[in-house]
Amino acid sequence: MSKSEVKGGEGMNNKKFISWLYSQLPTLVKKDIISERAAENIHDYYGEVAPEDKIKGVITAFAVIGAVLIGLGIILIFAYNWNDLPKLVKVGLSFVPLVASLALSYFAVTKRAASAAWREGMAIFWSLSVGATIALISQTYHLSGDMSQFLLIWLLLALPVIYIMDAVVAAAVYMFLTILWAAFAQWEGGTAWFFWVLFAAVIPFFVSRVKKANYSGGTIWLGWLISFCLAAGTGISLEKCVPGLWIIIYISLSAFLYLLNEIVFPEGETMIKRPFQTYGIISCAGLLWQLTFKWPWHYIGWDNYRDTGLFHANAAALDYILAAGLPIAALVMLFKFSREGKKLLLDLGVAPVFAILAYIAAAFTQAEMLATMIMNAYVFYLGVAYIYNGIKHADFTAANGGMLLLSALIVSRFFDMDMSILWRGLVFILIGAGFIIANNVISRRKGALK
Amino acid sequence: MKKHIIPIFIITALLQLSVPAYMAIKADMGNTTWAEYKFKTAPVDPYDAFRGRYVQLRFTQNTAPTKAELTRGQVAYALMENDAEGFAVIKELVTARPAYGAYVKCKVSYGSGGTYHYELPFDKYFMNEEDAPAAEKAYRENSGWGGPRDAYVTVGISDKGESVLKELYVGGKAIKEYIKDLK
Repeated sequence: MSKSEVKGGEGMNNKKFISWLYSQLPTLVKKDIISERAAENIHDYYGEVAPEDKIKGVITAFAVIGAVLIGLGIILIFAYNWNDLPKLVKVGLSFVPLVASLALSYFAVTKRAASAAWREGMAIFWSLSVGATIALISQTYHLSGDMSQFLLIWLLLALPVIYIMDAVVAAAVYMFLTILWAAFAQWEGGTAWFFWVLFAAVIPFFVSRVKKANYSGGTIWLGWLISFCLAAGTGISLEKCVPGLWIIIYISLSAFLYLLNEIVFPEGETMIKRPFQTYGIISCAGLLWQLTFKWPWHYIGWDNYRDTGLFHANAAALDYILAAGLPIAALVMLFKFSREGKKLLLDLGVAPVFAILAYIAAAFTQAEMLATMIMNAYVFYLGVAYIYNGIKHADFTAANGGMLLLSALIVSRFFDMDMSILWRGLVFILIGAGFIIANNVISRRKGALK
Repeated sequence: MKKHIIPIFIITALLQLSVPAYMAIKADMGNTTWAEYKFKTAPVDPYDAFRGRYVQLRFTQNTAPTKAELTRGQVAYALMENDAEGFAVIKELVTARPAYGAYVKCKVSYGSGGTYHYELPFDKYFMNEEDAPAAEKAYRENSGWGGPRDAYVTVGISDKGESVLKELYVGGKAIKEYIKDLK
């Protein structure tokens, strides 16, 4: 039975674990735990493990930087004598970056397809050349136009580069341009709901990278890019006709990404290699802490609806779709993982429910105080749950994260309340002592477990 | 995907080359075959006159009456005619493309009560950075209060309301000639 036919075979494609297994095989054979034949079969099943090539990443990065500098250098040289050149010459020179990048990219795709340095380097040169050529033609003929229009044409023409070159940098350029486009579209008085269509265009590329090698440097980096792109693009694209829906949308987005990590990067060894989970925890915790204050709950809900000036009622349909869709998506995954009994996952994954409850309290009944209390109670519970879990499993990150959240909550309430300096000092001492004691307990548990 | 990569590459390359080529051909046609209009420029704030490599243009007229209810960012059509001195004047803003007469496509800025501000698409004149300070000074002196106020731009406008900026004139000369003569 081949690796791909075994259920979960693809999820077990982890070089580190396979290398460890191979290192154990001689000992197991020597002690007659498994036969030599069995050891060979295991080796055949998992195949060769190529050593991690850290140098490859550095070479690729330098190739990208080199390509960008060459492209910018060409443009600067043209710019030196630009004013004195006849119009036809200017037009011809405007096409040079694009034609050069096409020629080099064709070479990369046909003769150097196996080299990530070539593909990534040429991809960024190509992506930037598209925009440079359009900008140079615009400058030659004094074509003003809207910045959003220029950006949309650029990013749509640059989209195929991602797939042709199989290049993460091209995806990075594309995602950056979609955010810029959304920002300018809103600023110019239009709408930015189309951001979601543009963003969806890069998802098949991400899925194919995950299937090929979900823990490679490029795929991890892509995971981080997607997280930041969603974070920025969501806020910019929302129409915000109904104030406060961002609370449900952003909490649900953070929880959804946090849970999605269990499917996409479940065995990431470090926080960096679990981009969706790390981003989800940090953004969710940060947002939840802010929601323990009163200010986010003022003037929200349908009673404060606005659709004049820069607020477009039709485009606000996006807000409603996200406010319904994201919590559903998060809860569907939560239900899936609840059967696997991963408790900490559930503790944070259930955040959309509390966000919705608090929103209903503030928006429909104007009970802002109730909304604040719901969030305070939930954040307090979350902090305690992470500390408890951290101590129980000797996990410094979880315990310290829980203590940080709890401390932030307590200190914030401090500044809300009118309390004397003496009492504040005493509580700070207690919090500090708590940090030290908890870390000490975890250290001892870690030692005992070893 | 790998099998089709060359055809996809070729189609993408053709698309990417055709967009700027179309822009250049259309603008060149506009320069040579479209009807030419003159728009008088207005005083500018010195800090706004020049950004990066272009002169930010302002026009003496930037509002027009309308019978329609307009919203910010909406595309509209500015009906034009020439005044006694041969400069273009916007008579009215309409939402539907006119069947006849001279007009230019513009974008609604803000307004109410039947009068709206609008933005014309030819509001940037690109300049070489070395000539920027002199161009900025010349433009301000010829557009501002107390000066001759004889700065204007020539614009090619098609019968579909599309426009292309041809030249910026100060003191009766194209800006490049004006700056050359100053040196």
